[in-house]
Amino acid sequence: MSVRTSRPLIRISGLHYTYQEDDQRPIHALNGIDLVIHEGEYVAIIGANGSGKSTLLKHFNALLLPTQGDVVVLKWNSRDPEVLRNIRSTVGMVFQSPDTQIIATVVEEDVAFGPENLGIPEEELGERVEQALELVGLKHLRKRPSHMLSEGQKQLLAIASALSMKPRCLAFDESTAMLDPGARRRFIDTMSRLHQQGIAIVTATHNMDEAALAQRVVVLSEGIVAVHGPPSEVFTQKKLLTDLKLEVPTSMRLAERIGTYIPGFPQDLLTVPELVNTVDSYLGQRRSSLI
Amino acid sequence: MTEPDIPVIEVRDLFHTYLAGTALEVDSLRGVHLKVYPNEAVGIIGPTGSGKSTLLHHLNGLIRPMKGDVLIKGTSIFQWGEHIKEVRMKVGLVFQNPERQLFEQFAGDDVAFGPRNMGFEPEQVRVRVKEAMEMVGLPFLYKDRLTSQLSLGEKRRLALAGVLAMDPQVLVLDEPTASLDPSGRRTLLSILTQWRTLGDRAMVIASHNMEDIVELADRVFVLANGKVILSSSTGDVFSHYDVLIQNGLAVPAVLELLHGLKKRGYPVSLDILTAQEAAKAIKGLYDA
Amino acid sequence: MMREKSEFEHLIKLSVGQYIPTGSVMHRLDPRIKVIMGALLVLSAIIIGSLISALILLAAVIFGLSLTRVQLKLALASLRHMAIFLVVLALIQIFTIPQLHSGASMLFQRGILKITDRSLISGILLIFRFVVIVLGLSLFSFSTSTTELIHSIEHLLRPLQKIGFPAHELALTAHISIRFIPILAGEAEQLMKAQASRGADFAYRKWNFIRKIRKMLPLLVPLFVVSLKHAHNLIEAMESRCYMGGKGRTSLIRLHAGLGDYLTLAVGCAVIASALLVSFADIDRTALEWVWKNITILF
Repeated sequence: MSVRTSRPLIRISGLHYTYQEDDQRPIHALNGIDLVIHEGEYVAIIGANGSGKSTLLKHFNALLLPTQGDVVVLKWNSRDPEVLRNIRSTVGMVFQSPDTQIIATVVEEDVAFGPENLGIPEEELGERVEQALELVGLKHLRKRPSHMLSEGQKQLLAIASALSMKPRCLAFDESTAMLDPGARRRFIDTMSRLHQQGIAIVTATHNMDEAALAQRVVVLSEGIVAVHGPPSEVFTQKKLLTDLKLEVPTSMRLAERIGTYIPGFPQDLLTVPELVNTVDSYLGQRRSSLI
Repeated sequence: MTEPDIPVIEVRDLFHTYLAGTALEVDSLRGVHLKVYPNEAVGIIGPTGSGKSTLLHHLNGLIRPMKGDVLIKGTSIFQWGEHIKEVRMKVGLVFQNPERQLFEQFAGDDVAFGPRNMGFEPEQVRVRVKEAMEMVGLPFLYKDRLTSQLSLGEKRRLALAGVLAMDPQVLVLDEPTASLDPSGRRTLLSILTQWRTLGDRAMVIASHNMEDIVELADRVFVLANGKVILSSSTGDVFSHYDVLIQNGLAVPAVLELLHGLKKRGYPVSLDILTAQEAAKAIKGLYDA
Repeated sequence: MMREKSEFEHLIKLSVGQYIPTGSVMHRLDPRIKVIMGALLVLSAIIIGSLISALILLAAVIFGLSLTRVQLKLALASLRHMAIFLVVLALIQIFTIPQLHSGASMLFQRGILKITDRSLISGILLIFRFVVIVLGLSLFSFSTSTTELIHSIEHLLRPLQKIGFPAHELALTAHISIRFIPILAGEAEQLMKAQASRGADFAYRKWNFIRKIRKMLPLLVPLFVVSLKHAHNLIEAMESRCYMGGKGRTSLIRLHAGLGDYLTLAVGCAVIASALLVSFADIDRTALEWVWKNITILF
């Protein structure tokens, strides 16, 4: 399925964002971004600290409004205060810090918070809570006090609390940065699962291995899009990435080393399991060619 | 070398119970033994809840052992008494996200906080601040910058400088590269490697990031359920793939690769840590 | 240094509350009923002037506690701290308050220490009042989570929203405050440790106020900054989920008072009413005289 034939969900044109703190110099965080996120797409946004990842993401659900340019979600322009609800229930957001995005003291109440704000009828609330918790695997913790969850569970709760509004897109602002490897794995698996169910996923991340799982990678630098495309295309541009102070996924780093010993070894391997498979088949071919 | 090697830090049979005496009490450390020798770097890995942070907070006397002992340069923590400040100078503890502890308006003042508290003269303080800032790659003229204006990476380095300014003999770090972008991480790792070359320094790093541990640590202690379940050289510890995964830990990517190959029947050694060695090993299989 | 850590540990414990979920029938009672009865109980404990009334209330509270299936020793633990204080206060009442002695029959006299039937009653009554209130509050907090408490107060105040009283906003503020107490306590603890590791000393030995503030800056400034950051994050999270105030909001939690709840309310009110009646009937003195007479006969 070509992503390009999917309908556009979020359309960003000529986006500039400048802000100023007290009497400091104005900061040009975004300097002209054109970007389209399609329905059901999985997009990763990477860039060094200060490249504008978070700022860009917050324009998707109108937490920030453009200084110049437009952000249109489906048919709604983010500048229109009347459609704020529409936009925010279409694009849900999950932030970095587990504790400060949980509002209620009990899990099910936190998940219900969003739909409650939308005035969803009470009969439907319970159902939405149940479905959202089911999707992230936390149904059994429904009545648990929210402070008694592990960090990983809290982040999953944050996803559920966004899901209960039935969004078409979920935006993740470095949501795995504070998680240990096990929790991170579970979180990423959940993201993939939700993507398979048709929800568009946009994730801003520092973790190149995470970004490698997306269908499209957008690289930001100093407020503009430096390059974008499928991860196999973006991550093979090693020089560009180094200039932008970024890295390649670990599997590619390993593949590169192997390539110095075995010429012609594929360099566009995005995950370690892929790498293992490739090495295996290479060694297998070698064996059979020697026979 | 005729002098017997005295560990610069020794932890003996350490016990600690969190929220002791309440309904929520939980044993966070249940008999931990650990030795750190001069000039070595030790890694501590463990799943969340294994007691890593609690252990670290014992190393400079922030927490007193409920049972067991912690010895700094051979002297029990219980005997330091009022001289506990000296321990804090010798053992510099860098917390997770240390940029949160910055409070002075001007960057230089914050770095000076530690040395001032230790009672150094203004001229000595100035020298220490300068050296510490240079060591973390911040120009001395940043001392007059507003702390709030620094980037995350700069703040992190400033906070580290604040500890280095006390010139510790042991640097204890809790998740030093957490939340940093790839470039920030590289910078921090090189600062730490550089610091070790000063000589007669030891380092303790607690981290989830296995690549950091591989790069910095000579030996690793694996903490699980409040006990040390594995303690050996870095290479040896990471070769115990199953034990680590079972305890909710990760392994460096190199070992994921090698373990994956081993499972498919290839005769690879798991005692490998670098990409280079791994590539060579695979080449070896290829040629065979 | 370890003492500082324990202080914060207790703060966390406090904010979690003494809610002990046992799933008992008392726990399942509509929290609004519990709030109403709790308020009435405290009021009546203060009003009553009769020992017999106090005994009625005490019996009711102990019965309620037994229904919670929480170990009695936990409830009595809070009393233990107050025990000595109570006894001293009661003794003062019994022996020395002169107003109570007027028009009362003397039971005992040695020097300036007098016990009259009135003063004896009022002394013992004092103890009973405290015990009823403390045990009543324990009963309430064992069986009701803070969440339930806030929900019931919000529900009870909801009719006032029509005249502009922000019941929902207050409830949300209370919820968020309770959520953040342990978080901020944890931050404060981390900060104290971090600054102590740099040689900071928070023990104030000098009385100088200005110096004290200066010494606390390494703690106060970052705590303030981090609290603001948390507040900012929270606002973003709330806005992302379309929070726009209380208007038009629905609610997942609906408190349904069933027949059992209303019956319990009725019974509870009846008990309290009977205690009050007994108090106004003022049969204490006759009862106490009867008891005293019979005890002296026995000896």
